[in-house]
Amino acid sequence: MADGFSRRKFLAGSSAALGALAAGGSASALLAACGSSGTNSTAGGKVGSTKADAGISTATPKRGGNLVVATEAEDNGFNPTIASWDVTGLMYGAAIFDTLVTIDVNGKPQPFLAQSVTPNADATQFTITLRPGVKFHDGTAVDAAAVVQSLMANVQSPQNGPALLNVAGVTAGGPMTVLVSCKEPWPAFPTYLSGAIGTVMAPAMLVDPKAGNLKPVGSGPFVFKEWVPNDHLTVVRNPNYWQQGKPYLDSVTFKPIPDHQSRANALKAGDVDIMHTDDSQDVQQFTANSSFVSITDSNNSATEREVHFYMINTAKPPFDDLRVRQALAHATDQSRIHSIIDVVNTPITSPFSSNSPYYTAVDYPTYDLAKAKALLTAYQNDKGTLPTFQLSTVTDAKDLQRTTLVQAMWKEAGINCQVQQVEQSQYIVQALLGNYDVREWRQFAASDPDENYVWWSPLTASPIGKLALNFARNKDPQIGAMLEKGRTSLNQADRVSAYQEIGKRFAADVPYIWLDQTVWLVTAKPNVENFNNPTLPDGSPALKMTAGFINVGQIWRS
Amino acid sequence: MAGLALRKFLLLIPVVFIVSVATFLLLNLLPGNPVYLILGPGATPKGVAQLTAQLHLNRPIYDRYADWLWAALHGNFGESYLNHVASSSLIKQALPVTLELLIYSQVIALAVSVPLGVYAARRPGGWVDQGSSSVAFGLLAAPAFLVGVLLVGLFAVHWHLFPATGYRHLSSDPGGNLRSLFLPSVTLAVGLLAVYLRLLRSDMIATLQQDYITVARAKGLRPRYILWRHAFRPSMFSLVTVIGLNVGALIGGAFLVEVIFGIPGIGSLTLHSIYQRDYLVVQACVLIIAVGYVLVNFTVDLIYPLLDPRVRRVRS
Repeated sequence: MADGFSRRKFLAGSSAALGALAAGGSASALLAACGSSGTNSTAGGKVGSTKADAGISTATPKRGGNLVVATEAEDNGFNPTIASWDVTGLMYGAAIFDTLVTIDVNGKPQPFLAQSVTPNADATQFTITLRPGVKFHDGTAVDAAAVVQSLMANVQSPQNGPALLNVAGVTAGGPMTVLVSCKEPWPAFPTYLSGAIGTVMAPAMLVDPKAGNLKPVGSGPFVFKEWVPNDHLTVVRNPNYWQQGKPYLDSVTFKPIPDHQSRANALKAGDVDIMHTDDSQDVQQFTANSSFVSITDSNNSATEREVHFYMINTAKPPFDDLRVRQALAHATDQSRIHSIIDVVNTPITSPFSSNSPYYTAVDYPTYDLAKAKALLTAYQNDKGTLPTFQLSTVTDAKDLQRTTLVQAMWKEAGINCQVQQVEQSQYIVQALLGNYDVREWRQFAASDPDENYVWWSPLTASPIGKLALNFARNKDPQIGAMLEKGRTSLNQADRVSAYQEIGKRFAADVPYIWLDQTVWLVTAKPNVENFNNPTLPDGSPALKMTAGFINVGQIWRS
Repeated sequence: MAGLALRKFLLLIPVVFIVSVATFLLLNLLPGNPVYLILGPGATPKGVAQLTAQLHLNRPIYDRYADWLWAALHGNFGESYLNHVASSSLIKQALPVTLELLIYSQVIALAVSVPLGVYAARRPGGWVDQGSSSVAFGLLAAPAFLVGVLLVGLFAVHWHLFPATGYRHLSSDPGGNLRSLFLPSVTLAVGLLAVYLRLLRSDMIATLQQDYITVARAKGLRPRYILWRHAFRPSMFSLVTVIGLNVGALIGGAFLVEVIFGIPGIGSLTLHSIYQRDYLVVQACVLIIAVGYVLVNFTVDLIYPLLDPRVRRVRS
């Protein structure tokens, strides 16, 4: 990723990943959205067109061969209760492990390794029935005891535990039945089982979790063979995979190439077969290059995609004054940022994309310099001074470029701010403790909006100086009520209206100055088949490529 | 000679100690906390406290340094905070890759610069001298990242002659190993060979004006014999010194080149670990690099007497 914030470039990759892990541990929290891979039409219209059937093969799959996949980063292990999985980790995980649940083409959770996940009448208890006869790579059975152990490792994990605070208990209800009880109704819970939290690890991995972090044992389509951190991960075909006939490839080699230009060169030079990127220039270049088959997630709408914004510390003066926040939003010209830097991304006015069921038109304070100046004048008349503050970003060239552009826009409105670059881990600490004014951020990808509960809830908006997962510290009781309604309601229409209301409240409160949604590209050599055609166990379509996720389980080479 | 070697070796001990203290302090006094990085935005007070204790980050810095030093002396550099792999194991994988890269680049630089430098010195102002000098200045002005990107563009992306990224192990695929390291080595060698060429040329010109060369010519020895047997060896003095001193710059260059070419060497490992605040791995890498640098220059010191009998006489 060109403008990310770390190895995983924190806000672009890691933040979303860690956020997803903590909030829901859901792969699909990162994997936002779905839909057809038809012609891309972002607001800028600058993404080249891709064929509607790109990455979808109807021919008879051919068995054999090795696939080399270039990833944007390296991960720090295979135990999702210890390792921080971003999109690369999720790809590694999907190759070696199975999740209890997966997300279908419409963004709905469907059983995967589980045969069924059945809630009780008020969604406070879930009965997970496992598939019979499935074995881990070490030959042990995937049974209730193993799944309980795996889920409990997540519940007890400092990393994933916060997302599962609503879980009251996980017990075996029989040899192949797991019961999960919740403290309050939680209809979105199955979605959480589609990612890191629902990844089922073999008991052998959990005897010594640290050792298991390096030698994964799952039940997935490929078996771990070798991992040399920062060089390659090799997995080989699982001949006993429970989905008969799959996988088609003999082996897969994942090669982390963090520099986006080097990754693109590796594909062009033929060193790798398929890669992902969210660099705007690469997205444009490859979608216009007929030598490669490319798909983007720009039209996917089944789940919520990662959004990019400037986050305001609403607990800190002068930002506790709504007029200042509104002035900042009115002074931000999204279209200028879009035309200069984030050319392929889609501008937004709410965390929900315009084709999401949770989206509704909102009265967001869009660019209007006159209004910004008027609000600031009113503020100055009251307080006797104009606001001055620090506008922070991380130590990345493109992020600095973007933030400097925003600084210049705000200057036009009469707002003086200083740009500050902060090292990544310090950046997180400052956000957690509220030691910042306004800063660039990326987050909120989710299969189900409930996964953003901890980030948006007033309950997690601690005062400055105390750790708070609601980084903006926006204490809007209406948002709290709507989040509760969205979490506990069994009626989908009620849930939709709750999250639509949250979108409106964000527009009213202005804790975030929205910029855009990231567009991801997956591009491959023409002989890489079926890379955008994941299926459920019954053959029906699953969630298509989102957030750069490449599922190697259904790929074959022609 | 043995006494000299022992004296020089004993001097290494305080140098390495100072490097280890400086590295430890530098990394630990920087703002930022690996606990927050590991736990991510979902960090809770309980999780932070738990992991801080687990990583012993709640203990005083001198305690942690003492523990680390004691373990390091026993070959244990600790394990990565992030993936719990032993730092020594990560270095064991990465160090040979970087060493190979450095050796190949030195070999390429010397293979080009020595014949050209000697030939240019034989006829100063000739077309070889003027041409090589012009090219050398051009190469000196070209930064490694630019050279690397250009080489990839031409030889990998356009002509598909070499891979753009990646590394093949020497043991499993010798041919692939040479191909995978060719472009990175050339990228590093370009800056070196210009320096070596200019240096050797000027030293050779000076040597060729010495009286003993005139005597050799008067004796009727063949010009080629005089050039290589009588003039070249004493002219290598500065070259050998610069080769040793250049190791530092070369390691710095390797950091960049390893990123551009996706090579899993010590440079990539160090950078990756710095980004992730993986203190123990960074410390181990920096210590190994520093010790390596000191050892190379220690070796260079020992080579001088072998090159020039006058040094042996002065030291004895």
